[in-house]
Amino acid sequence: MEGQDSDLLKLVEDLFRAKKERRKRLVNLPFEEKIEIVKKLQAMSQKLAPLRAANRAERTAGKVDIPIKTK
Amino acid sequence: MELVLQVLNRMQADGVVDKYAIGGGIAAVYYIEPYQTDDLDIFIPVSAVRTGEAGLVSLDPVYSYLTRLGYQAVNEGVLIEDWLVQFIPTFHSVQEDALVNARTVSYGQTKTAIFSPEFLAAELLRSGRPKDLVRVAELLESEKLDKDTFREIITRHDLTKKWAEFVRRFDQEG
Repeated sequence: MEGQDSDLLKLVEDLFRAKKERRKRLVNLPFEEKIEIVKKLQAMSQKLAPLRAANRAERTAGKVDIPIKTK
Repeated sequence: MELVLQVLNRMQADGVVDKYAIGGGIAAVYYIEPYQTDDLDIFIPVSAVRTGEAGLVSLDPVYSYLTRLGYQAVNEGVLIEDWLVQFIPTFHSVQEDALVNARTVSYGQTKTAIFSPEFLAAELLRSGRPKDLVRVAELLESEKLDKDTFREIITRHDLTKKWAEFVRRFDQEG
């Protein structure tokens, strides 16, 4: 059990380390490359916009039921 | 983006504005990791806007100039190439100071001006929307912001109350 806990802790530490390294790499990219990423994110958001709007409309109309477990 | 900056530089060279500087989300992207932001916030001196008799502010000098170049006003900005550019007159003292003290940086072969990280964080703190405050936290975490300079700016521009609230909400060191 203790071994499983320490494995999990190591996994979480590795994930956070990887995330920190990724962030550091992105922070230090040249401005031009950062703007390219911003443009890609904008394009992705534009593609998703109609789907998001449709989902929102369905939720508003009560057509989507998200069951929530309660005790 | 480079074409947009060239248009802005031309606008400055033609005397429509004395100076301009990038602030907002794109300035934040310069200092921290990239994230989605839809428009380009350009801060311009108040002298570049026209105030009518009723005290209403008009960006007409800037908009007329850009319209003559063939660009269209859209929503709250002007679509220049593929960027929605919003022009923000520096009505607040921290914005004015940020504009005066903007840094010159390069984008490709083009020079442009951008708020320093300390002034950018102070202006985002003043603005105070939740997304702005997240950027303030990210700028403070970055190695690019000088905290002593930032504290001096927020004291000088009477933002200490907002800072105290931010410290409480974001569990920062005062």
